[in-house]
Amino acid sequence: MLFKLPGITLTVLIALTSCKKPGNGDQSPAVSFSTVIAFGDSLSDAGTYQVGPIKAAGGGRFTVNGVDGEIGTLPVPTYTWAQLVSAAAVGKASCAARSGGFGSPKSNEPATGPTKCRNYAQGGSRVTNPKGIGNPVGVGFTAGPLTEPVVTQIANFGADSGSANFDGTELITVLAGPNDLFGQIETLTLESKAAGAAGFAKSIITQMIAFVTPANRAQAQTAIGQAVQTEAAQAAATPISIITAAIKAATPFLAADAAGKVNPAEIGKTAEAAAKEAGNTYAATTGLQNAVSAMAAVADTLSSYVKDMVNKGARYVVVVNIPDVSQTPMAAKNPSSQPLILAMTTAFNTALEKALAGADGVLFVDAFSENRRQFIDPAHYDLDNVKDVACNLNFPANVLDATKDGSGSAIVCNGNNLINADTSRYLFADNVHPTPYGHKLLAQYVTKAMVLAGWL
Amino acid sequence: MKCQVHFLIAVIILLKGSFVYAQMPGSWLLRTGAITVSPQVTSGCLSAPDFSDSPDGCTKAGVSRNTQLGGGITWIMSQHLSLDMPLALPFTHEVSGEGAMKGSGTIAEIQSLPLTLFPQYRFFGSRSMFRPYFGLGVTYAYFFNPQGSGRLTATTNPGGEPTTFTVDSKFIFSPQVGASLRLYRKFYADVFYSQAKLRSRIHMSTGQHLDADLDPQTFGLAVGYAY
Repeated sequence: MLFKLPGITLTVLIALTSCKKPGNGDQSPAVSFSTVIAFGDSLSDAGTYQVGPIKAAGGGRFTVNGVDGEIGTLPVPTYTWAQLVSAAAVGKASCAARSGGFGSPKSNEPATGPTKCRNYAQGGSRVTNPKGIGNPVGVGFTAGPLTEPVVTQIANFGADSGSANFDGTELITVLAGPNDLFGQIETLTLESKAAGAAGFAKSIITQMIAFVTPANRAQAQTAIGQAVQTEAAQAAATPISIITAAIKAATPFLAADAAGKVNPAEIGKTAEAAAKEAGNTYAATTGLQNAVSAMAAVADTLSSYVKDMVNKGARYVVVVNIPDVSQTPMAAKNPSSQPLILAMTTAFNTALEKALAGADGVLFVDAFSENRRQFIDPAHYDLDNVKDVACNLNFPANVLDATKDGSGSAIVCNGNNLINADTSRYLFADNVHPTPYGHKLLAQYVTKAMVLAGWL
Repeated sequence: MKCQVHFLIAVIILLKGSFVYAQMPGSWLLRTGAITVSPQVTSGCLSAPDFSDSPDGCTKAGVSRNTQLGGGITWIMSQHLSLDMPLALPFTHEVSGEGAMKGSGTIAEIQSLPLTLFPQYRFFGSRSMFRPYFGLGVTYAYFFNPQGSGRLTATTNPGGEPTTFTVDSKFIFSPQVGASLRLYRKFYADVFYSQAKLRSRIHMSTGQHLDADLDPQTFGLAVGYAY
């Protein structure tokens, strides 16, 4: 300002400093992470299986593949949430620490220099069991997915870094458990079928005994039971063949007036109803209890792995719980299974949160609740569709639909085998995996939690 | 980004041989002091995609108050009417996350320069020691130099290009009350308060936007000299 007094000449000159364009401000994170390490399954996998036939099919990650572009551009490029969190924390999307499977041998990615890959998550992996989804063998399996479990992934990091310890500057993300849930469903399904088969046999025996004279019933029961058991053990056994065997075994003991009353069709109908009831009863009682308990135990195990990492020096571990699997397209196909899946998911998440409550260096992120909010109000998340899948999962569009029943996987999904619709705002790529946009939403929720924790 | 420096010649006043008493018609009053702009924010919700894990179900924003070196210039038009223009250095406001982002701290900064011309009515006589007044001004609420942050980027575009934003500048009406007190000869003290209704929109580079009632309250306290 320039004043001239008296006189009086006054000039007021105000300098305004302004920027015409908006600025970036301080983009540095609150914590200077040295690297980002990911442990988990297909939701975090950065492309372990992007080799051999999977790569040839234009796939590699369990989402819509091949959407190129810088992070943040549209359409949302192909990155998993763990990769995006890595980019937010250290400016670079993580890459797969192991590759192989589907016929290719397992190999370790180059682990030297700034390009070292520290995303150990593998599609199909469970927490401890090496027999992941699609891997009936376990350790060393390469014909399909490697599915090294989280416990092995952590050991892999130790092998790569030369020490099982952490220096406290790493950001570690953990999301695992869904494949244990699927494993428990498989177990429950098998056990329910076994319970149904037992109910079927029991019903046949009971029905046949009714046609036997009272004096012969004890002997007949043994004979019919053995016949049913023997026939049921045959690989080619059918309900009809089992009933036929039962009738044949019962014939020497039938009452005089039983002739003409034995109706295989009626016996089969009654037995199948009994089988269904027995299977459902098992699933709803013992099976449910076992599955729920097993999931809680898996969560406890996972939490012990997390705590072990903290004990070995880790100071920043993000643990993401299981999204709401009961509302995935997979679960929606079988509505009667949804309460069971929800119970298993809740048991896992509750146990995980409880076990990690108050743990130093652990940030628990409730993706389950966020996921449920997405289902309740998709528009709030700019989601167009939270029920259908973006990928065409039917053979031949999806080469992994081996059973030709629409059971293909997003791992070979790309722009060439999407459904005929604008899927850019779909939540699901396939029956359980998110689209790149779904991954972005999950990543944002995690980074938000990190911001609130003072980690970003 | 390099900022450009703009020079604004706000006022050039040429007055000679002025021996008028305070607040006589035709006189000019110059003052310097401090001005505080305090937004009274009622935030809307961030447009989709947004978070919803809060009682109000969305991300909202808070805007901090700021005090700067300021003052103003007043032209006494007649015994009771005057024109007043407060002047100040640009105000810097911190934008904080609220609602679903509550606890995130400062996620952005924005500068504002409310340019206001107040027609005023002054009570009592020109030579009165104490003169309360009221005014109704027209303000151009100018927002500039918006700066994002890593926190803003992380929660809107994780891993991507920094999220930037702009805020709509607006013309608004600003009611004002104030008073001047003659201190010594031609020196006087001035205090004023104004409150305006201001609804603006924040536009983000991610395509999201957020509407908010900013309704700034402005306090001014200054010592001046009458010419």
